[in-house]
Amino acid sequence: MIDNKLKSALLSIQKPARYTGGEPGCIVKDKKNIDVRFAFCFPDTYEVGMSHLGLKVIYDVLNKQPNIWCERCFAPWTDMIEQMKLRDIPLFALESKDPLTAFDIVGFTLQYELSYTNVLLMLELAGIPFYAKDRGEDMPLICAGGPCTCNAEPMADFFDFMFLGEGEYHTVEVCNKLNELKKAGKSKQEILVELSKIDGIYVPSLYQIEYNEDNTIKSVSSAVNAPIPCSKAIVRDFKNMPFPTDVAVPMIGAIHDRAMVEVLRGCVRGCRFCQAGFIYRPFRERDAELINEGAKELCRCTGYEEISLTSLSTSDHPQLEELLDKMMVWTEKEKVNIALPSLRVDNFSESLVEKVSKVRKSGLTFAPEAGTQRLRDIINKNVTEEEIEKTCKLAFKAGYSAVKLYFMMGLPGETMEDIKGIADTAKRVIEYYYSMPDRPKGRGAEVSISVACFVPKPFTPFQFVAQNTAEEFKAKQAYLLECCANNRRIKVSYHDSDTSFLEAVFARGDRRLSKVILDAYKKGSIFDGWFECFNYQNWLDAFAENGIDMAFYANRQRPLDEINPWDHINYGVTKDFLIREYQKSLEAITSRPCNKQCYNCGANKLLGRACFEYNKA
Amino acid sequence: MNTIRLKFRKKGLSIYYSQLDLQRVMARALKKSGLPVWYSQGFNPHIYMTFTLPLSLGHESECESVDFRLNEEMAEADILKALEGTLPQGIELVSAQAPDYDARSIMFAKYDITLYGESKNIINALNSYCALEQAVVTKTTKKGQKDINLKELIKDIIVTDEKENEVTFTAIYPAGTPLNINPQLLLDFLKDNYGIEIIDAFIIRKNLFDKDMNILQ
Ligand code: SF4
Repeated sequence: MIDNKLKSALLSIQKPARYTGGEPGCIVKDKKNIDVRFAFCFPDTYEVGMSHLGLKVIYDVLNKQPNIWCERCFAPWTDMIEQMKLRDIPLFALESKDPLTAFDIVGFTLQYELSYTNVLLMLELAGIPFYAKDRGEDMPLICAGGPCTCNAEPMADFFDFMFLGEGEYHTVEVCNKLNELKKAGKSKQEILVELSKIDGIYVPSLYQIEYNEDNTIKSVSSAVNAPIPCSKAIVRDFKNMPFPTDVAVPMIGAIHDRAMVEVLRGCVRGCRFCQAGFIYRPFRERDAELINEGAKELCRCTGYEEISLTSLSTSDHPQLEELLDKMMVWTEKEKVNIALPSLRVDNFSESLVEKVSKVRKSGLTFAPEAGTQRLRDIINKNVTEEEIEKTCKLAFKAGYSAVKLYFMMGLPGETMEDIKGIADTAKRVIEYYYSMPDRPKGRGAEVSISVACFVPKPFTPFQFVAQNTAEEFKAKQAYLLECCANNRRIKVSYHDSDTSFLEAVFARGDRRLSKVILDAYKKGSIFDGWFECFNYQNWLDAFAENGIDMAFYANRQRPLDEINPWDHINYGVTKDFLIREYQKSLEAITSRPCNKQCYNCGANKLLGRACFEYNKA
Repeated sequence: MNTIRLKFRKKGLSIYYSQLDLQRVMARALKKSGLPVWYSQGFNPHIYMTFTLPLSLGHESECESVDFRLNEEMAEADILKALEGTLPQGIELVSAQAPDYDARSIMFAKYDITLYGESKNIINALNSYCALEQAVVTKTTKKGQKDINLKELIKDIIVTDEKENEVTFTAIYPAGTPLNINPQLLLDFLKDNYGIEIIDAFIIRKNLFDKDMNILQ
């Protein structure tokens, strides 16, 4: 319950409902019947965290267990931090308002590197010591999950264990195991050794890392025979995997405030820059009827008026059109919009455009990622200029006039010619528009191009390459602006290279960075992903004081035989495969999508069978 | 088409929703209830709703209401049943009937305020306020700032409960479209003029009245 102390704090801040829980769909259980209490912590604001489908999935899976209670906790915004410190309120979970120290497991989801300091913030506000080694038997187990755990070595010293891969099954397994071991009176160390035997559980403290004099890794070993490599867990039967239909609905809005269904997992594309495309392999789709039925129930339970069919590449779902037909039977009647956030340029058919435009008419987004065919071949983004033309024309014909194009700069093998190619692509899109006699009347075409700084990530074929330096990025950005000058139909936006640099350092960082993150936090760094909070100087100082060269992690071409900080982790794709793909990129040789041809990446081993039946079609 | 006035209390966790949030809360609840609610027509249809009198974030209330329309005739019990479980914790439904008065007839609202702090000082401040001829404060409105005399508007203050560090008093404030006085204005005046330290202030809207001081609902 809310006591007077908390009530006063809530009345002194903006958006107090971020901290109150109580939304429809929020689950409150009787503590008497609970064996394991799990605090799902999202190290960002309520509005960001509540937009995240993974939270809802784990919340649902755990709370379906009668003896487990999963609650939510988000990073308090600066005004609330101040109030909590002033009034001595420890960080609490929304459902019970109990402090995090009352839980058995406190689990953080690591969605992006720039949220790392917020994990420390939340631990400190909860009165939990930062380092795993400093926490006694009375403290909850602190763990992490989410995409970053494929290499969360920079956070290794803070966590007791990490979930690798997909959490639907092993979060429940871990809770049950913990319950059993606690009841048997096992010590924390004994518990961790036992947990490390579960599929997809990585206990960083059980691994010893040795370094060479040049700071590269010499060896990784485990004194207690923890698995090397430690493999991620997956849901093999994703096709029939149910999904949450009654979820807590934020009443103060969220970044993505709509119902969401994950229609497929993994990606067949193999774009060489894209970490998600590799770490979520193998490709598995959900059954169309299961999606349809669940989506209907989800909209009924939540009252949402928009449902988003999410995935890395929704148009790769083999039954997408059939699914849309099924859904439109009820969505029109119920006044529900269908949103398709990740369509691909190359298989965007005419009937699909028609269906999408029937449900929602807004801007269209495409991601050619690179401005020239040569560079698109290097990164294996198999999109041709003809496809861009065809799709844009289809979209224009369907009534769209604004197109947003996503690109990256700093890709391996990139030259200024490729930067100019970005501007040329945008200009051509505008020409397509005006070349059409049946274009939407009365409106001018508008193309916005958004250019991100490329960050090389683990488990991609580009994990070996150097990131561009800030100077290189600045020169490229300036050149792009020059190329687009005098065209008022083109709007250019690009990412800040400082945050991309920091992201690159952590993405491929090792355990020695834990201390740096703590030092930056102590200097006041929190909410680094928020433009208004980011303080680059803190980070430069923290690295300098620890004598650590950021460029060693971000701007260095890594030899193919170097031991990477994540090499003792297995996400399915083998290093051999990544090297093969990298070498093909050097010659601008493309690979086909997985559903057309298998390149033996290794992910099928997780599945225990071939990913696709190629001779079927 | 039937207009329904849903009366409810806003308590507990729900007091932290702003008026804007509350609109979303109600729209979602109505959608979720499956009731045959009427949508405004046009390019972007949405559920038609009007709140009788907006409530400040953080204030509790015993007397909130929202009007919406149904395409069909329905019994009150069925409407309330459909809405069960669709609302966040703290919103307590009271009734769902045809509107019993025009929202424009609201002229006054009664609030109970509990102040936490040194009781003696708080009582002194309240007494001093009552003895004043004039109490001018600046009210910020959409049109800008203007000076108003609180004494003309908030006349009687009745202390209903007094404990060591806690005083509860009740008073009637102008409310509604012509002039709406937030009780916070009075608290600010007390703080600024008598230097009392208010650790916390919890505010509850108790009743609404028309121009002749008849209780509405
Ligand atoms: S094993 Fe083959 S089909 Fe499966 S994900 Fe790897 S490359 Fe694709």
